[in-house]
Amino acid sequence: MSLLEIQSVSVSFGGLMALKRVSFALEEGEIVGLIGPNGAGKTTLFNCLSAFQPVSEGHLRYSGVALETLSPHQVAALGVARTFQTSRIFRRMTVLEHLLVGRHLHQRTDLWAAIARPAWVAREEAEARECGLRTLALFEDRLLPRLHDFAETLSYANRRRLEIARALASEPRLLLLDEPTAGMNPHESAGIVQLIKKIRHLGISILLIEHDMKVIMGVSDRIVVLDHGEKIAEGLPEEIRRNEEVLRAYMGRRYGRA
Amino acid sequence: MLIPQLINGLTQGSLYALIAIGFVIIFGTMNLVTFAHGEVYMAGAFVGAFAMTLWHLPWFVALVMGMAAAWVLGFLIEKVAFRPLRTAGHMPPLLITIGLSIILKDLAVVLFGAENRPVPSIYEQTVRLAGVQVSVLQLVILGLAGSLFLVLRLLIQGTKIGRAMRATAQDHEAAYAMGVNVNRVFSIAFALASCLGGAAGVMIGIYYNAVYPTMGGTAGLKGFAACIFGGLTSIPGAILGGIIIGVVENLTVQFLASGYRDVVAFLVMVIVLVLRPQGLLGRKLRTV
Repeated sequence: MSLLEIQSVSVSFGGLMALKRVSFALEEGEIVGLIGPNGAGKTTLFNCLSAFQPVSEGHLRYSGVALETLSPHQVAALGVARTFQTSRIFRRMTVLEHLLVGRHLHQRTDLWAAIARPAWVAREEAEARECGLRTLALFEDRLLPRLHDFAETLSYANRRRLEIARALASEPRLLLLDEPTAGMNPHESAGIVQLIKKIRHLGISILLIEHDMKVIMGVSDRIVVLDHGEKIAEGLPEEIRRNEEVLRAYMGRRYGRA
Repeated sequence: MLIPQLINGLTQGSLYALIAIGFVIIFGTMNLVTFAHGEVYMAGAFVGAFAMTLWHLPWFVALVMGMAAAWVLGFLIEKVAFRPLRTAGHMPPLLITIGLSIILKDLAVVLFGAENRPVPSIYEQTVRLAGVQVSVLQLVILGLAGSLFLVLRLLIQGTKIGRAMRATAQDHEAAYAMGVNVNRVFSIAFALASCLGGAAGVMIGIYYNAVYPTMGGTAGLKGFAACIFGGLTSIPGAILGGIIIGVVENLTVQFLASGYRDVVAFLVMVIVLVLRPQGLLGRKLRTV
């Protein structure tokens, strides 16, 4: 059984088909790249997987569990974490607090425990903090020195890193990354490639939306290509690089317009 | 005469602060202003009054009952009136709260009558503290408000629930994706805010020996004003705002005339807000 199975998923917004019978699978430990021109339905698929967008038809199975009837927090509880295309940080929370929110699902302090403060509450907070710091260590000296800074004071690239850090703090089995290098310079993008490789070493599977071909070719085990809501190709990076239809749909139009 | 009036103001102000904190919690979690908060406070006050007069229960049991009733009422209001409108923008929930406020007030008139309902007084004796006569009831109210502030601080400072509330307020989709059950957070925030309002209601009923259906109108307005005065999303700001309003009112009554109490209180607020539009402890809004 694959970790993630997308079975003939369609999404329609009114008359517009954002996704048309898209099917593919992701195996445990794999990094699958998801590419396609703007408006191809990549983010819509992410929204379906994280239960923000209901599917019109088809099924989503995550290690055998149907995702399409769940709420976003329930999907997260299964071990699926995501980042967003545009940075969605908590502006008035510190870097550390973002990591602690990432630990939300692993904490059990409820209303009464918060008021009564039995000894285990402090232990739980300390554990969450430690786990957050371990996660931040993956980002070397980018975020650790800014532990107590508000997120809104971070640079653009650091906000994007923080979003990934927050997702990682939840210890997901599957990570959905939506254009992690968008707006980054080549040096910063190279750093994200290194980071993705480190994340794989933690045993986390990744579904990656990315426009930067260097990034996608560099880290993906397999690539799925969407165009106008349909899957037009799937294969190894070198196969996709040579695929005529992909070149036409993806590159052709982009260069044809210029 | 100054010190006793300061203590009167502090007592009343701490109750305004409890109401104001409710506005802060609801606005801070849901980005929503509720105009039914005063009526939740009134409902809590009535439950407390009934507990003492009809069932002859001690005041602290009445207090717990009033708080519990307000908690349930807040929980229900959020579920019935707000949850279906979560994606409808700012205006429809605002109108709903105005409607709810009218419904609850009229319901109270129909069920309990429009006239004042007496509430027995407690702790009528006074004690001498550092040369000043202070009523024991005022000390009880101050102690109670102070403990509620403390419990609230424990609840939301450095805990999972507090972070979940702040995260939900700042980006509820991102919080949702991180596993925060945002609907539950909204329920808890609304219930918690209502519960504090209910506590203020019960204590005001005891303090002034009366409850009545329209008591939530001015109290809600004062609480909302204190919340804006303090900076809209700051709990310490709301406490400070409530206390300043209470103190200014009482000093006005003493040194000017009782008819001017609201005028002067609101005048002070207007002046402060002109000089400091973000409120006492609020943060400056930045235009991006």
